[in-house]
Amino acid sequence: MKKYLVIIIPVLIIIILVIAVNTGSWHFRYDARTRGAASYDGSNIIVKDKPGSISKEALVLLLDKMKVADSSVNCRKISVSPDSVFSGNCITLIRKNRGPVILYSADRSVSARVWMALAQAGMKNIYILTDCPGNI
Amino acid sequence: MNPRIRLSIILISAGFVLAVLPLKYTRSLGGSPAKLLSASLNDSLAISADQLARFISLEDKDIHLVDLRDKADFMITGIPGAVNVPYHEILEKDPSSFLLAGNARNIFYSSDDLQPGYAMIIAMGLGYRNSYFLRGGINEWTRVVSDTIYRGGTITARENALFESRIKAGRLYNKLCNLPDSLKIKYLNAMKFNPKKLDGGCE
Amino acid sequence: MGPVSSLISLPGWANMLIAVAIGIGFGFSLEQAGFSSSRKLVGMFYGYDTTVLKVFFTAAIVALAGSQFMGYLGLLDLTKVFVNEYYVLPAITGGVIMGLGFVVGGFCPGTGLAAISIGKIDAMVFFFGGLTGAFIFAETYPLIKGFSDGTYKGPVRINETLGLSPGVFTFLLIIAAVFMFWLAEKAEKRFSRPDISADI
Repeated sequence: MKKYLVIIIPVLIIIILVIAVNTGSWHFRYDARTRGAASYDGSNIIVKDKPGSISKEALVLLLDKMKVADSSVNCRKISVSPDSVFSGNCITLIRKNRGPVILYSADRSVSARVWMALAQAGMKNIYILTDCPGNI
Repeated sequence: MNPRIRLSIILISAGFVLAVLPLKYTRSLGGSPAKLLSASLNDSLAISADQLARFISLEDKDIHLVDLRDKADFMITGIPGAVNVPYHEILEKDPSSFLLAGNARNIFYSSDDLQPGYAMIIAMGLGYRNSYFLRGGINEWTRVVSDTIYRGGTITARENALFESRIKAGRLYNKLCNLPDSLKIKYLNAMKFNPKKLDGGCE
Repeated sequence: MGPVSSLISLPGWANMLIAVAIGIGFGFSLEQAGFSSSRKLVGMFYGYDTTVLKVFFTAAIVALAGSQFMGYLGLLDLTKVFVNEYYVLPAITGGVIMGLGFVVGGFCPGTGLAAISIGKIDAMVFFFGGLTGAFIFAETYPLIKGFSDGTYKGPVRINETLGLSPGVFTFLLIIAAVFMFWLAEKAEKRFSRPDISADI
């Protein structure tokens, strides 16, 4: 077994590094273009008053103190400062949520920045809730 | 075991791991997502239409505008001094071909704030921490600057200064928008800068 | 300079200093591997000593695999790594001339410098010949410009031409390298020259 350690250890180190790179939100993931692909065609945008646009399993992150009209949002909502999105609790909630995670802010640029940072850090199933389609 | 065989097994195993990974010649963002997001949320990174009008009227050489809209929209209503990089090309091109490093301010704009928000994170992640965006985009610019008119009455000194820079920047903007396409293309080509060619090899 | 400058920003002189240190390390490794001996080098062509193949090919696949991993781990931006521009016919012609010079002279440019560093006179003459060739190339360039700039393909990567991902290509190249090392061992036994191998 000892003579195989010389082979096993370097290969294990490589595998551990690859796994470490692919998990955790403490760094940006490989291939920025693929990570941000949803932003090119606007498939990461949900329009608020479109019926059925938000599933019950969704988690809405309210990035400022604006309230979202209850009639259009019937799912879990939490208020979080944009600065704290990567804090332990918030990231755990995002990862563990079964349905989509929806970002909402009256300032679309804040939602955009948070979305891109989350997407590039490897988070999937993240959307931006907007009042109107605008220019996606 | 023969050391050559050990080395061969290690190399083949490493090669196998590489074969399984989705590798491409592509760009990735650097740094910590939390720190980058925090830095990008600084209010001073949002430039208002009035601030931009002031920079343009003073011919500030430290600002560098990047229009993220499609070429057709840019040709109709591009802000003077802007270069056009459609948003979907941001990560395809070498960033040094359309972004300036150092003290310059790279200001992204589009029709609204979504794409500039995305582009700011991307640019900052690629090392261009001097990235800003125009709040409200071209729509806000048109409303505040291009369509500004003096409605009469007394105004304060500050309002007067704002009005002057809006008028000056608005005149430049309208002049550019009203140029025939051939002259506009000449002007825009003069604004381009050639990407730095990589040096290397045995030349 | 590679991964170091992606972590910290280095001034230009520091990059140059690192390049000098790497160059010294490279020359030292060449000399220690025995590549300052022309008999060892031409052994590659006659088959009795395939050390050149093993050392350089191993270095190439370690560098290839290492750079791919570093790119994946975010330590190296592979889009910034220089890719040599490919001129098909000039590359083949240059390769033939260089190969001929190598087997006749017993050195290539890098190993020639390593040999000069230990005072070998034949390496000094070889290097002088190389500089003469470069001078002749420069002076006759207007005459051969058309050929020299012809069949230009741009900065191509082999994996892109073959339609393979960089990872798959690296794996296949490693397999090919290991196979060639095995073949080289067979060749050394077949074409052995104990009278020369004993001295080098």
